[in-house]
This record gives sequence, structure tokens and C-alpha cells, in this order.
Amino acid sequence: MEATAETSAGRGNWRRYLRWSTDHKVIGIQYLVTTFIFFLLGGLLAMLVRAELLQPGMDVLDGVQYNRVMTNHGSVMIFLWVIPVLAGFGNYLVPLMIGARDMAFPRLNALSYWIFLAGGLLMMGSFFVGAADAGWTAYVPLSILAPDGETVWAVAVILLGASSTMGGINFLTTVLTMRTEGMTIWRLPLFVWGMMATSLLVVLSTPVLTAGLFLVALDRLLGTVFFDAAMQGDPILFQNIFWFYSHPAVYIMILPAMGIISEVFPVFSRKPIFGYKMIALSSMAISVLGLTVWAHHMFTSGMDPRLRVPYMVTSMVIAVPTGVKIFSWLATIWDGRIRFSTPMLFALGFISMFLIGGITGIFLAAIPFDIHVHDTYFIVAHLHFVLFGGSVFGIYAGLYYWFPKITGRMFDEKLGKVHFLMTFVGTNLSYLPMFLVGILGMPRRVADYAPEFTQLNQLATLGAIILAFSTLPFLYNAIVSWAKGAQAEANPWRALTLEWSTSSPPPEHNFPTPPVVRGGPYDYGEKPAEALPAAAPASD
Amino acid sequence: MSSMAVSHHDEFKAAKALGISHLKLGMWLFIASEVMFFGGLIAAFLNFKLNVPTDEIQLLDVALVGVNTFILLTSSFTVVLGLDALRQDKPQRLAFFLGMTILLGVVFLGGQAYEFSQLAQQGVTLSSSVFGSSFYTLTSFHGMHVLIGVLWALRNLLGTLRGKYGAESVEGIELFGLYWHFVDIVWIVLFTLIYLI
Amino acid sequence: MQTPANESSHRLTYVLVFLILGGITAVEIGLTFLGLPRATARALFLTLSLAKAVMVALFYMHLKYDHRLYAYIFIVPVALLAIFAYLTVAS
Repeated sequence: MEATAETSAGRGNWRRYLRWSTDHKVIGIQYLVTTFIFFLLGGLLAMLVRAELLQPGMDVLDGVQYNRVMTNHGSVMIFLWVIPVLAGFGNYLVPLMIGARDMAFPRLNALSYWIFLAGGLLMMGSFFVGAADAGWTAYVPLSILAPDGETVWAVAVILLGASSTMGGINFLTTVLTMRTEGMTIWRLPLFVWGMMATSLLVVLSTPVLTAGLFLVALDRLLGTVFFDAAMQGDPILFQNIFWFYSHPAVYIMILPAMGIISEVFPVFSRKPIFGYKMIALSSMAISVLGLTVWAHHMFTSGMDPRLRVPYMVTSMVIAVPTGVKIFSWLATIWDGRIRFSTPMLFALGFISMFLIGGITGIFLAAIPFDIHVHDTYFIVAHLHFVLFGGSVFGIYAGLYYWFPKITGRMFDEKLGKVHFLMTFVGTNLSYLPMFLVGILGMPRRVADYAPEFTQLNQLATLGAIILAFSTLPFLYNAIVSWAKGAQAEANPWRALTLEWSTSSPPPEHNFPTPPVVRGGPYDYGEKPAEALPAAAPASD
Repeated sequence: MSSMAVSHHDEFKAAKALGISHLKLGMWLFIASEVMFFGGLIAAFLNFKLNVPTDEIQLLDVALVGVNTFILLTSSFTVVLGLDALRQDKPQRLAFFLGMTILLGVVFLGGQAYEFSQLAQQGVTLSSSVFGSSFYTLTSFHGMHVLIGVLWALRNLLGTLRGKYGAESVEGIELFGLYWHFVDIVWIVLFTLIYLI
Repeated sequence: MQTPANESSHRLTYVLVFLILGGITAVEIGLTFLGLPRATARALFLTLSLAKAVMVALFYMHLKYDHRLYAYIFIVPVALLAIFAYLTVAS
């Protein structure tokens, strides 16, 4: 048993991560590492943007270069980092959390990863033919007129969408058909609920974007006229198709991260989660509502003005299940015995950062306000608070929380705290000024700005520099700890979900015998933490 | 180490408890994603059909394509007859019906190709108008799905001739059937939206 | 084990459905030559085609006899598609 646990993620075996494997744990690690590399690439692109915006005037990049950098920063962060890293977490954890040996379709799972990698490399390769420069939103007609890299970009996103959709089908089938005995739907960990809500969105909305990108590619390559104004083509058509996916995409990017937060809070406050069913149902509600709000990105597009109102309503309503979650999390930690370990720090940071992002989202749902700040830095601030302050904080919380399980090693807690502090300061310094400068009128996606915005931009660039350096303690910690950190026991955090009932890292088939579940995953304080719901004793 | 080789079969206990098959569930979820994919293309087509009136629509040959529609419907019929035969443990009859399905699928594609050439001769192309763009795109993506179905049916036919399927192992054909009938339903919708209304 | 009675009862259903599908298609084609007012024609065609699609789904795709989950998985995207198409065309 010891030997198996060691070799399944053994040091000498790192080559297996470069090869085709149908083991969900290997695929999960492949996703986690690959996406983190893309995160760093996307971050470099961000640094180029912030370098240019340090001063007014075009001093670092020219306009074309800036548009390419800006476009790919967004595209990389969304398509090659946040969406797939969360799929990576899902891949690693979902089978373990439901007591299964692997995903329902292991070969499809492997295919998903390699298609993702191909799409990612293709998107990076677009830089060699003149990168895409029409923004990550690729609005027509600009994206039809853009240079060749735009076609490569579109094909890359089609591939990435296919990979994502395959994953969504796999996750839903796995959770519905492979739960171990006693793992009823209402005993599923909330991370699994988050993945289910996400997968619903992935399956229903991603194919629409795929269709839309085919239309763009056809206009560019085969002379169709979908978006050719001279032939009565319709730019609003593209926006509808694009946002029908891309709004749910932001929920795809947050729901699993919220699931991670739901896992971390009970463990690090030694209390059951407050409102388990409400959190689970809120995830599903956000998922369903998320399909109805898309045109709030189009309020200034020239769409029928009366049609905007229902979108405003649904966009505000979606705050309700979100608020339910936040209050449930607060109630969870209230009066708890809190341990301020690094995962908990990031989870707490998530709450405050996501709150800022979420509340400003409600402002934006109001049509008159949105008309004023649309396409300004107010939006850039909002999106970074939810995506960085929310998703990335959640991702970091997850990386630290499950680091011992995945690598079999403990990370350095002091370095973790340094990383958190730098990230928290950097995030606020980068993005808070953007709210102000946006309301004052600085447009987004433009390489230059009026001189009166200079000081606020300098603050933001300073914040970005701190964020850039903040990755260093994390990288050092992750790499050195993985190589020679202290050996981790099966359950260093004394948590109750099933992945902690097997060794760190788990053996090839996850559990020596299929676990039998007798209670919920958050029953802290109701039985000793050592008596896990799984009947099978923790191996080794 | 004790090798508890848990057979793959036991892994789907939850599926059995629910009374579903993980393969069928996967196929239905795939179909759901395909509904949305065609949905994007259909939305584009309808957007132009209803908002940009054109005369080109008069050039569509409803009778010809109606016959083609009937052919595709028949091919769904042959698939269910084949599956039924397999359940009766008559794989040779399944082979026959698969062959018929392939034939009908190919005839359907031929009919589409003929219709395309007729329209092209009358000036309706991918670039001639938004109608042309959306018409050819929508029907061609459907045609590609038919082609993939034909190839899948061919693979099933070869498998049947090699004795792969019997009354106890019908699921592969069942899954193919779900895909094929879905493609048929998409055509029913397309025929209505493009040719009838 | 299938009894002979079961055996023909499935096939009979399939044959009946096929004949109905063919019949509806023939009617639809015939209707196009009648030059009906547009709104009436559209309502008729949509209803008839819906009937065809439902029959294929219920009987050929076996949704009538299988677990309801499969039916929901099919119906939800179809409804969503209708809403999306409507809102897109309307804007």
C-alpha cells in the first residue's frame, strides 16, 4: 500500500504527467499545472498592459500591439486559466469526493485535456500570424476585419469549448451514476454541487458560442456575409450569441470556486456548514438564472430598449442566491474555532473581495448606471474583483487546501501567509482605483488616457507589480514543498469529505475498498473528526 | 497488497439504483449540447429570415426536399426495426436494416447535394445574401451530422457482421439510434423553419 | 425474454408511428400549395412538425418508456433554444 501510494505520484514518475493517462488524478494534475503556466503568461500580458498604462502617451507599446496584448490577456485568463483550472480541480476531486474510482468516461476525460492543450497552444501560436486584437469579446465587424491571428484564435476557442463541453458531460454523468453506497444527493460535498451547477451551464451554453465562432470563421474564410453590414449582416446577432455563452461563463468561473470556499470554511472553523441545502440549491439557482441575463452586456448596443428591462430584473434577482451563500458562509464561521491557515485566509479574502465585485455587479444591472459606465474601467474593476478577488482567491484556497492530498507533502505555512498578504494588498491596490477612474470616464480597451487619470493608473500599476511578485512565494512554496516538503498524512486538516479518508496522495484506484457513507460531509462537532463517514479506514 | 479488483461493473451502482445507464445518460447530455449548437445556427437563420426579407426563399423546392425529408424519416424507421430485430436476437436482420439506413442516409445526402447545386445555379451561394449564408451553413452542418451518422452506422454494420451484437448486448446500437433519431428530429425542425414557414 | 406477443406489439407501434410521420409530412407538403395566410400556415406547420418531433422522441428514442431524466435532459435545452432564438430575433 505504501509503495503504491508513493509510486502513483512518485517523484521519479513525473514523466507520466507528460503522457496520455486516463487516471483522473493524473489528468487533474495535468490541468492544474498547465493552467497555472497559462496564468503566469496571462499575468505577463497584464504587466505589459499596466506598463503601458503607467503613463499617458504611447511609451511601451504601439496601438496594435496593445490591442493584441489586451485581447490575449483576457482570452488567456478566461479560456486557459480560470475555466480549465476549475475543471482540473473537478477532475481530481469529484471522483474522490463521491467515493468512485474514476470519472464515468476516463478516455473522454483524457481527450478533454489534450484538446484543451491543443487549443491553448494554438491560441498562443496565433501570435506568430498576427495575434487576435479584437478583444476577448471578438465583436463583429472588427473581428472579421482583424488579421489572420483572429481566425486562429476563433479555432482555438472552438477547440477549448469542445474540451469544456466534453468535461461537462463527464462530470454530470459521473456524479449521477457513480456515487458510492450511502452517498445520496443531499450528502454530496458542496464542491460537487458547484461542479454540477457549472457543468449544467457548460453543456447548455458553450455550444452556442461554438456556433457563433463558426459563423465568424465562415465570414473570414468562406465569404459568408452574416456580419457584413453592406449585405444586411447583423452585429447584434453576434453579441447575442456571444453573450449567451459568455455570461454563463462567468458563473462557470465562480461556482466551483464558491464550492471550494464551502469546503474550506467548515474545516477551518470546526463547525458544520450553515444552510447546506440552501447553498446547494443556490448554486443551481445561480446556474439557471445565469442563462437568462446575457443581454445586460448589450444595454448600449442598440438592442430594442424595452427588451433591456427583463434583463435588468433577472440580473438583480441573481444577487439573491448569491447573498444566501455569503450569509451562509458567514454564519458558518460565526462563533467557530477558526484556524487562520493559508486556505482559510484566502477563503476569508474571497468573501470581502467577491462582495465588492458582486455589489458593484448589482449597480451594473441597473440600466441607467450601466449606460454611464459601460466600456469604462468601472467594469474592469468589477470583473477583476469577481474574477481575481473571487475566482483566483478561491483557486488559491483550493490549491493550498488540497496540496497535501495531491502531492503527499505539506507546504510551508509562513510562505503561504506572505503570499496571501501580497495578493490581498496587490488586488485592492490594482483594482480599487479602477472603479474611480472608470466613473470619471476612462474608457477600457484603449491604450492611452487623459492626463487627469494618471495618479490612479499609477496606483493600479503598483498594485499589479505587487501581484506579479506575489506569485513568487507561491511558486517557490509549491515547487520546493512538492519536492521535499514534510510528508502529509491522509487527513492533515481533519476534514470529513471522502478524499481525506484515503492516503495522500491516493492510490491508483482511490480507495482500497469502495467507501460506504453514513453521514453528511460537514458533521463537525457531532462526532470525533477521526470517525469519518467512510467505513474503510484511512489506508496506511 | 490485496488486489481488490473492483470490476468496472460495480462502479455504476448509483446508476442502477436510479434505473439509468451511464452511457445513455452521456449520450442524452451530448444530444443536449447538440441541441444548443444547432440552436445558435437556427437563431442566426431565423434572425435573417424574419428580419431581412428576401426573394431567394421562393427558389426553394419544397416538394423535392419534402421527399428527402420522407427518406430521412424512413431511415429512422429502419433503425428502430433493426434494434427491434437485435432484441429478438436476429443480428442478420439488424445488419439488413443498418444497410438500409446507410443507403437512405446516402440518398438523403445526395438529395441535399442536388438541391444545393440547383440553388447555386440560380445564384444562391454562401456569399449571395444573408439568406444564402445562413441557409447553406445550417443545412450543411446538419448534413455533416448525417454523414457522421452514416459512418457510425457503417462501423456498426461491420461490427454486426463480426458478431459483436446480440440480444444481450444492444447498447451500442441503442446509442447509435439515439444519435440518428436526434439528427432526424433536427431535420424535422429545419424542414419546417426553412421550407414550410 | 420477449414473448411473441411483445415482439409484434413493438413493431406495430413503430410501423404506426412511421405511417403517421409520413402522413403528416405529405399533408405539410400539400398545405404549402394551398396559399394559406401566413400566420395560419405558420401555426399549422409548427404544430404538425412538433407532433412529428414528439413522436420520434417518445417512440423511436424510447423516451415514453425510459427514465424521465432523459426526457428532461432533452426538453430543457429545447425550451432554452426557443427562448434564445426568440430573444435574439426580437432584438
